[in-house]
Amino acid sequence: SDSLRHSSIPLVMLSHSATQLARSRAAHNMREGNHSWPRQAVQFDFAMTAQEESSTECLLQGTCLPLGAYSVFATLPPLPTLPSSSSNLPSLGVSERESGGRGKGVQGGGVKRGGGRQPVVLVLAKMDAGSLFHGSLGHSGDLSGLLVGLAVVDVLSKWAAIAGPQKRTPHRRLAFGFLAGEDWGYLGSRGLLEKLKEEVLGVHLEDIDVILELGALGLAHTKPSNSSQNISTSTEPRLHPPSPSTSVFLHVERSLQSHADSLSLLRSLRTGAEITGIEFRSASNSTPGVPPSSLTSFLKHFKKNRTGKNGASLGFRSGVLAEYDEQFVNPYVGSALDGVHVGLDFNRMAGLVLATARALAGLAFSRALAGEEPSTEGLDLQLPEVTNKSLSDARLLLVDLAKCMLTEAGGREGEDEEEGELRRRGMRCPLVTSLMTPSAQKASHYTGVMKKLAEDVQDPRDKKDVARFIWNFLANRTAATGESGDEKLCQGKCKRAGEVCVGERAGESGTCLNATVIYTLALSPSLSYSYGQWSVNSSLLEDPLYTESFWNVIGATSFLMESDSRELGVFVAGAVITLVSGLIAYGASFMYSIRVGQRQT
Amino acid sequence: SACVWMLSLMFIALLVRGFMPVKDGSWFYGALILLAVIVQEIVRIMLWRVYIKGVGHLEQIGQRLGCAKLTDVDHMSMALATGMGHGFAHSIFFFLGLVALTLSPATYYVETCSDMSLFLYSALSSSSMLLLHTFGMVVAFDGYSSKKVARQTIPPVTHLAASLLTLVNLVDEGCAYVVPLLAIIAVCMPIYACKIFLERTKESTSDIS
Repeated sequence: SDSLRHSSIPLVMLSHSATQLARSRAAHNMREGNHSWPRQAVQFDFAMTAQEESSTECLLQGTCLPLGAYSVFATLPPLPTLPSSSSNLPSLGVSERESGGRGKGVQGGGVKRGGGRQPVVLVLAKMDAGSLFHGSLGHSGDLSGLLVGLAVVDVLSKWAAIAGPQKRTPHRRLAFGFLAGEDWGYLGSRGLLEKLKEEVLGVHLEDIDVILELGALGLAHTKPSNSSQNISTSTEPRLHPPSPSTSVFLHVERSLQSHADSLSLLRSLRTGAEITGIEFRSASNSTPGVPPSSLTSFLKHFKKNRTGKNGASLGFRSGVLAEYDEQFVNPYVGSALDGVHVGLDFNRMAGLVLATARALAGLAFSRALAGEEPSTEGLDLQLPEVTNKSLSDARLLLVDLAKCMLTEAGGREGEDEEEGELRRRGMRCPLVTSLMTPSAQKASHYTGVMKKLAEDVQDPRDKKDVARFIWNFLANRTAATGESGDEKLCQGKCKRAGEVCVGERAGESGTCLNATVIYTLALSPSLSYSYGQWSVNSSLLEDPLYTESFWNVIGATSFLMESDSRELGVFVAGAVITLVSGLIAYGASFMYSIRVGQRQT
Repeated sequence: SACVWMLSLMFIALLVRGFMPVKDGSWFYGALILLAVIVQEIVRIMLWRVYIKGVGHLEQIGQRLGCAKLTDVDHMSMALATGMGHGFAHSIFFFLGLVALTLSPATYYVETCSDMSLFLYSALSSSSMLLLHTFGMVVAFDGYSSKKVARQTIPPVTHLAASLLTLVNLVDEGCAYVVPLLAIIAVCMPIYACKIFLERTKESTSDIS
């Protein structure tokens, strides 16, 4: 990026053992004093191929690669499968479909219902972080949204139970977007936005009437709310909340005319949230609106294309859920210290997961339009229940996800420090290995570079571990429960349209499940790729374009060093000795031949 | 000669392998040095026997072809070459491995020697031993051929003394004493060899046979 040029302070992130070594060596220097030799030194090898050019220039010269990755997008309930004879439909159901789900209960989420299109609730979360160093974990605080999102999908996977014995068809579809590259110019959200402008998985941009973004939701630093508890109106026996009421704030755009709509979103969230111990509140009026987030990419587009006349309600509600109100509560946010223990409170997050899942279930099935009170009365709906068991299940899943994705393999973080579990740390944990085979033990949260534009965006082989895991997790959890019960093993693609191969691992086949999950490209829209070369279309360049230079060997080496004067002195002394001994040898050989010659005469 | 001495060093290393890893204690190093020197001196004697037989045969062949007989000075030259083989084998064995490391900007100091780096010490001690062994062979071969006991015993004794002297390195800052002393011991040997040479070349007739 152009803005990171001209920084001349070398920065290296050291591992735990390397940090201790560096400290002991610095202490040695301090003990010996400032002017004593030999002393400990560090040499940095940072040779980068790209030489102080801008991103556009280095891409042209082929000395760098653009940052880019793949986001994961899924819908719940999944689109129904079609018989394999309909060969003109790709297996992902990208094109428009007839309403195929007549009265099929859970799978009845057809795109067209009686002529209109089905509205969609879009849930967004970041799946990687803008860490400065390749191997670092990224911010656990920021990635808490990812954990909450995945746990919510897990709770909602019991879709059939929610729909009730009458198998109600939902009014809205739920869509989940886990976005990559958000910290590098909102690559994921912009990429998804572009994809949604055409239709993807039966979802079009115009269908979306609710966007909820899960921001930083670790909740470890929030204070319990002082407000008195809402009186529950349910007839259920009052459960003891898992913790004092925790406030989670909904940040909404203030300049849009649909402010009232966004407040109704708050009401939807509050549905059934009381017993979880979570209090959804509106961010205070002193905040300017939505914090920088994936939502802003969508708001930018909607502001241009959906301005109603005279401030009429647009039927569009959006907001960012975050643990903070006017300022960040996590003092380590965005730093390498923002670790699992520091940023995440799993107890409270479990309550939040259930509250959000209940709200989303209500949004999916309720028929209320913006402005009206959402109501699930009259519907035989079973919102996901809040019991000690369901809370602890959610909590366990959150802990597992954090252990898998946010824990350094063999590091100090983690709830349970058991020696025997070291090998199953990181991405080799059972939760991950039951769904896919990771390529590395430690999950990388660096967005990564895009070497080339793949022909098949859905090929899992060039995707990062975290993306592949999320894809498989979503497919596994959102899959329609088996209709025929025959297990279809697969490797790669599934034959039936609407099915994907889930859980394929090294040496083990996956299963064809009826799930609607795809990868979408998270790449700057100004880039194009042809014949092995990236090129930039500067007219499309809105945000900074981030690239990473090629590099050879990078590292820092620490060693003991002599002073220059001493090294020179030793060298000169050695040269003198060599010269002198050469002269002596020459002289001796001269004397030898004289002596031998004398004897012979 | 270099090959023979290299093999002797490897043989000694093999013998000692069974006692590795070394427990603390300079007595172990002393015993190791003693063993190594004894083995090498035995090899020196064996080398002399092989040398004198082999050279004797070659001389006979040469004489049949009409070459002149080998003089004692010729033997001293060959002894010098043999000694160089001895010295080089030691230098390679004890110092060559460090040379590649000297190309990097780093250095290394042993805990007990803060005056000079490991590399500097190795270079200095290695050059002293090179001198010692090169000219020690001249003295020894002359002693074997002239049957003078002093000349036969001085090389082994100085070899042992120099080697045991390096034990002082185990003491803090001992290396500061070891290096100059080693140099002094080492320089004595060429001086002695020179004296032998001058002696030999004073005599008008000299034959080794």
